[in-house]
Amino acid sequence: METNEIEMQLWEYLDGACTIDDMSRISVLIVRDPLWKAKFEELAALHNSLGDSLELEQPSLRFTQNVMDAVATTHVATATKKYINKGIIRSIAALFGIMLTAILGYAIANSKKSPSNLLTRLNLKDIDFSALFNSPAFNIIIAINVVIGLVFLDAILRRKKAQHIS
Amino acid sequence: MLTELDDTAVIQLVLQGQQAAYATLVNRYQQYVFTLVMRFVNNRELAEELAQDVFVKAYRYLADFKGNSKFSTWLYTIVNTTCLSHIRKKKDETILLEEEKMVSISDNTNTEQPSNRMEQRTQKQMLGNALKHLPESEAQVLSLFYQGEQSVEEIGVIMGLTTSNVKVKLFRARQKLKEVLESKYSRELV
Repeated sequence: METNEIEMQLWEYLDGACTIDDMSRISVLIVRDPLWKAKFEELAALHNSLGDSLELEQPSLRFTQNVMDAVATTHVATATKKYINKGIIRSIAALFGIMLTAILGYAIANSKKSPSNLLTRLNLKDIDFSALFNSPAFNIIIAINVVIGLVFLDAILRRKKAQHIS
Repeated sequence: MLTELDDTAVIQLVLQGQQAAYATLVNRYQQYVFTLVMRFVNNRELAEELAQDVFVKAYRYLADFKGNSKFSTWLYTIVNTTCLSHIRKKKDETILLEEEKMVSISDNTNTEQPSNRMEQRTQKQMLGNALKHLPESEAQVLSLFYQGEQSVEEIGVIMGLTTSNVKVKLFRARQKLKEVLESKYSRELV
């Protein structure tokens, strides 16, 4: 095993971040394998030094006073969740949707009726919609979509109910 | 009396209008915040200004602290965003050791003045100096883990990284620190 791999495992061992199985396996290796033992001692020394010896920087003695002076002219802002209304966000989204649809509709309706235009070539009256709705495949797809929609609606209502109860 | 209260209780007092209670939180976390800021900027005056800014921001948005995490985790997130946005604005002036500018450790082995090498350094000074040779993000991970007492998951929240990314960063930071200590401070370590 490479030294790097050994060190990675040992750091996880020192942090207590490995599984119980790995913990016992590494403990055995530290006792039996001289390389693992040496690496463990080296890393444990650094780990302990970092834990004990890293000094915290000390700001000036007036620091707290400076902060409190600055805070004196500041007000605690209202919590974001209090003024962000999901209904408003949804309304804005709906408004954008309607606007996009309206612009698209207007653009299609006012497009030049050239021979290459799809709308002029398509005559809606010639399409037999009844045949489409009577198609079993189409009805199956619609039925599946309705069922999926109902499942989602049920999930949303259940979540809302649970939130209301809690 | 206020010093005996936990963070959540102090926050409630502040939110109820007892502004003076906020000083308890400032006293409690000023060293941690200042140390973390110093990992980004190596200028005490600037670090103090930024640390002050962090506490003012935390006060302003205190109502947004939901209590889902530790107050310290939330506060260190503000440290991270404040320092990063400052660095983005004043990149050339304030970063002491950018990752791309980090001088190769092996090249630096003999650059210290002999007089400096002769100095008796304490282990604390040595580690503190060694940390300055790491890229800021790695020094920050080490500070958060060992000084800020944040878990790997909490560091992920603060730095906007996944847990596995934090683990990798932590591993690299320790490896680099070990290399710095061995190359620059081997005499003192003997």
